[in-house]
Amino acid sequence: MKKQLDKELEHLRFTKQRNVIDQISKPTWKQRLNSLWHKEIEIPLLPVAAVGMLIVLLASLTFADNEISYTTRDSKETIKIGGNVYWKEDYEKLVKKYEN
Amino acid sequence: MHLVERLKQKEEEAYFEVMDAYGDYLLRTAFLLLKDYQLAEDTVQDTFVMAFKKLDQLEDEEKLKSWLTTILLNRCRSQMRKWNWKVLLAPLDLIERTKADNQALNPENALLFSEWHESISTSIQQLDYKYREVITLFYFNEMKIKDIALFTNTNENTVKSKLKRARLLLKEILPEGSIDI
Repeated sequence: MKKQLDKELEHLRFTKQRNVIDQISKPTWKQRLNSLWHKEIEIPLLPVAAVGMLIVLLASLTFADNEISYTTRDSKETIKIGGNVYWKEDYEKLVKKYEN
Repeated sequence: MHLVERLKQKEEEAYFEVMDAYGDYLLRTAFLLLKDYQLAEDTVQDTFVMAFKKLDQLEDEEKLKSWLTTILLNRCRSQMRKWNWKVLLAPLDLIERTKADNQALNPENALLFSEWHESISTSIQQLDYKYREVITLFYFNEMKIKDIALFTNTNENTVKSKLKRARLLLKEILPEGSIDI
């Protein structure tokens, strides 16, 4: 019976070897993610350093151009109320405002 | 280096060697079980892909062939379950497809088909899956009852009774005196 079966089925040949190879060499999403995570990248030191320095320089120039305004006060007298310290001038102004 | 070692090293040549050695054998087994050449070939392809990806699970390197056969049997069972659902859910579609397949036979193929129809393999394919499986494993794969029980996850007595029933059914299908079972 085995011989007969072998004879009957001898024309059946497996032909999808290439498909198998293609499928096993195709990376899974996990492998892809892993390879992306472990991807080696080269950062050229000189250009990156140059760009970094340029950014710092530009930022410092931008801030240098801005005028910083300070409020000037006539008196530097302070007043202590309820454990808090206020400028006397401001305090009086506020009190006056609420009294009116 | 041993073939399995080479497979684990992902040598392409080793993959081809395994497929050349066992591809036809697995395809013929799958064809007897699934009764469809395309489906059988796809199933063997899946078997190899799964086996090559899970080579670490192969405990005994000498048992590569039986390990591949186990994977194939599981794949075939799963295909049969899918097929049963398909038949249940879309019987009309299947009938149409079968009709189209039959109409596609040219005279030469029709002659081959009629000869094929009287063959042992076709007779085996007419049996229910549970009988087809034991008959195939016993006669085509030349497995011992003990091994069939192991492969099909049943006990030896169940295999023996299935085999006995399968032989009787096969005798009814095959022309009288055509072959000794």
